[in-house]
Amino acid sequence: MSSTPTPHDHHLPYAEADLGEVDGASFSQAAAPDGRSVRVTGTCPRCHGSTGTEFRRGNPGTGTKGLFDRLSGRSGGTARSESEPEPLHGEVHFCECGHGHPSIPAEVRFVGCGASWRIAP
Amino acid sequence: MSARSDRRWAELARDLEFTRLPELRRQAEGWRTGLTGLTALLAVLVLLKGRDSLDQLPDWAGNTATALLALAFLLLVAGSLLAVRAAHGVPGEEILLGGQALRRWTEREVGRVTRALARASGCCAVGLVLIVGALGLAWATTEAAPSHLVRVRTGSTDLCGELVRADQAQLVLRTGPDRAERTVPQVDVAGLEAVGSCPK
Repeated sequence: MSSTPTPHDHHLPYAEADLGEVDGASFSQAAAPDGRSVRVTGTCPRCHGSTGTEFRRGNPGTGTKGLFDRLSGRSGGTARSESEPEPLHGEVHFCECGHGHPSIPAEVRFVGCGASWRIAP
Repeated sequence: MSARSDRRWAELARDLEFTRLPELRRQAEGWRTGLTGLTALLAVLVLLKGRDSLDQLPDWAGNTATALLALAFLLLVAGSLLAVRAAHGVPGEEILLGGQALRRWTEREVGRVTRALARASGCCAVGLVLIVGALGLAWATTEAAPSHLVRVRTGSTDLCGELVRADQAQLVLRTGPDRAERTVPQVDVAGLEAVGSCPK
């Protein structure tokens, strides 16, 4: 007997709620064909809306790499920095269901219900 | 790490997506400024200064001073490059722009910049000490420039050196790198003139 998915609660007020670690069964990540970004998708544990976040590759700032880093082949380029965890389990995720929940501030980077969570490994 | 802090890091990472080109341009401008200054320093030291001031030193002192200056120069160049790297970084490193990835990168970066600055200041300090050592060596060992230089023409050859004394019978000159005294009988002198320097 399959359970019916909980519908997206559009009336849930916006709140910056930290949900802690959640089960990762409903989340997945996929790299773009050009390798320039990774998209994590799933269902928001709070408002149950479909959420997706794209992590693009980019220069984080004016970084330095030592000579020994370069000699050992860890000089950056498009390669990920050494031992960098995957975004699915290494990042804090924010609801980006795209719905402007009630009381949402005018200037928010993540348009959704305001929830944040980590995905259990 | 608090939820508020996590959100702030994530917002910073999201904003970086929109400032990638200005950031790279700023980095390039910093490197351009640093390398231009370094090039000017090289030009001044190599093309204008030359090695004239070391020529009056004894060989061992001249060689030692040259080695000290060369090492100091290398250390100062390395220190300058390290300082530019600490200030402006090296283009090319990319990460996935997520809040936690940015936070981890920043923590590593703080360590790298700190080390680069410490090495830069160490190189510059040691370089300055070596320059002072070379100058001290030069001052201590530079021989006084000979005065009363004359060129004496005789029938067979020309002599150039410091005039020590002269009387009705002879001239005494101090000539050569060893400054040995040589005597020229007055009867052999065909000409005598003051000169500013003698050929090496």
